Amino acid sequence: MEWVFAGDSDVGKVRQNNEDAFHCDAARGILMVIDGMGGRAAGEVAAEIALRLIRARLERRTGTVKERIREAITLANNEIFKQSQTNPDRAGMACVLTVAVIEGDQLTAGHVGDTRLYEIRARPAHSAHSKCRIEKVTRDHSPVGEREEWGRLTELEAMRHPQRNEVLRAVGAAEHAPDDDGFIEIFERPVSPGSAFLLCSDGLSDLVTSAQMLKVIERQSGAPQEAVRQLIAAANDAGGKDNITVIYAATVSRSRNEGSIFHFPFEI
Amino acid sequence: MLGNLREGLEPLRYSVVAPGVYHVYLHERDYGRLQGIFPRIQQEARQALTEELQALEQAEPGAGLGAPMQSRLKGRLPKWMRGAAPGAEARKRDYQAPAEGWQIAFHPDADGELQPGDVSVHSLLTLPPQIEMGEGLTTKTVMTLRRDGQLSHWESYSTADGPTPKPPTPAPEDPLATNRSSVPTDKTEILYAVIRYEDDAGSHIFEMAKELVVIGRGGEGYWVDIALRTSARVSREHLRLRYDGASGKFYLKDLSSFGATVNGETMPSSMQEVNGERRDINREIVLPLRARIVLAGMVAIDFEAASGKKTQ
Repeated sequence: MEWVFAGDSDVGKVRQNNEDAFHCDAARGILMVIDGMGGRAAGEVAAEIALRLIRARLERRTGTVKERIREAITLANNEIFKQSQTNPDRAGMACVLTVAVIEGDQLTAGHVGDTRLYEIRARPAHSAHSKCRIEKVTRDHSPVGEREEWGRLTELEAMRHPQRNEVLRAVGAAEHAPDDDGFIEIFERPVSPGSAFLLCSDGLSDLVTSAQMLKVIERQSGAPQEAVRQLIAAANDAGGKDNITVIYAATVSRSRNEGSIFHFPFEI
Repeated sequence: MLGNLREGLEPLRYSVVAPGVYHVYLHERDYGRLQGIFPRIQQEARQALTEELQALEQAEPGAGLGAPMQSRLKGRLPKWMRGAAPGAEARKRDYQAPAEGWQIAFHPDADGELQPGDVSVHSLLTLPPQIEMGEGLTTKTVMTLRRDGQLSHWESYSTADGPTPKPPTPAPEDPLATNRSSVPTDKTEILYAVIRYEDDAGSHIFEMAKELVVIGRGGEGYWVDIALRTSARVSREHLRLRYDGASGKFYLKDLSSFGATVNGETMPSSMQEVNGERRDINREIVLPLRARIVLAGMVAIDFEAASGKKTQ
């Protein structure tokens, strides 16, 4: 299966600095979105440590994918925690993240906090609805996210909730082992020609509904870079109150005529 | 096992220590047949052992040393310990479950001594260290064989240094020391195995209380549970050892450059060159319940499966 990845990050309209980080590696099938937290520049430092250590572990393909992801996030967690304990400028720094690895016919994601992974799939051809549907794969580890999960808040109510920016889990808040309960949550999804995924920081999902995301993706099916650009623009149009990071990954299918490239789920 | 518990009790002055480690040997056919329910048997056996110990404690007459112990130790005890000490009449002794929890392991009978249906139980009592004065740990072993409904027991003592049988030489516990509670706490975790090894930093004991253990020198970007301080011939990520709950077996995977041996045999490497990149092809071996693993000829690791609960 051939994939095309596109990703970008934007400071938004309110913040002075961008504490988000992202990484897409199409050759190895690695995708991650990291949202740093902490005063002064500490959030950026936390995101940078996480990116470096997670890449180092994931690029060495030993152990199962799940083991790799758990160990990678734990290495980042313990290093951020150690530095936050020993360096006063970095006290309290942490990050939230979603890391996905596509290997063979499966996507495996490790998740801590309130960044998100969405799956986009085509509806059956005869469906009267729009061409695709979007489904949130990860569950936010946040008080508001949990209430939304239980159906006590709608997506829009959750987006406007004053406690929106509180998280229950973070990378670097306490020392951990890879398989600790209440730390990393793992999600697995089968992939097939037609699979597409979106990873984002809460700078997008707090301001743009999943239905709006889907509209952009459907319109820009053949141009993932453009889809990412338009999603970031939509968040900025809605106020851009936080850093915005988006990764879009879609399988590539070649049409029977002329070998031109389309990005499923929109053309088969 | 309950027979071993009763036979293996070590009565001290203020407490009675129970054997904590039980090795259950079965005929190979029975072992294969029962393998799937070992975790269940272990769970039920632990409960039965705890209940039996509580029943024994309640039945304790409240006198000093019991009669069998009196006769066995006569002449070897300090004078004040021989009879019931004043005030000891009313005091019940504390029956102590092992601090590490009941450890129960099943083994197929490799020697062919057992018939189908036979059960041989070897229990070990590791006496508190203060009992031996500078002589290493004393272990009391009870072996029970159940054959055709008949039970037979053997008892032996040995030190960690060698198998020489020697009589127990209990010393009085400090009367001022508070009795440790034998009540297990709610928070328990499973102890899968005990791993002993020596590296440049000394000798270590690692209790395997999780299903996956990564062994190697470690380094940036490397998660290891056992970080070895040794020659660079040992890889940063050398071995991955895991317990598989479904099969009840331990699996070992070699990811190193310079390999490993298990009980003297070279194990296959799981690393293979795929399109110019070294990749883990997920090749594992089943690890025997007791094994000596040598990494790159540099570090020896003694692995011993020890199923049981560890109280925190």
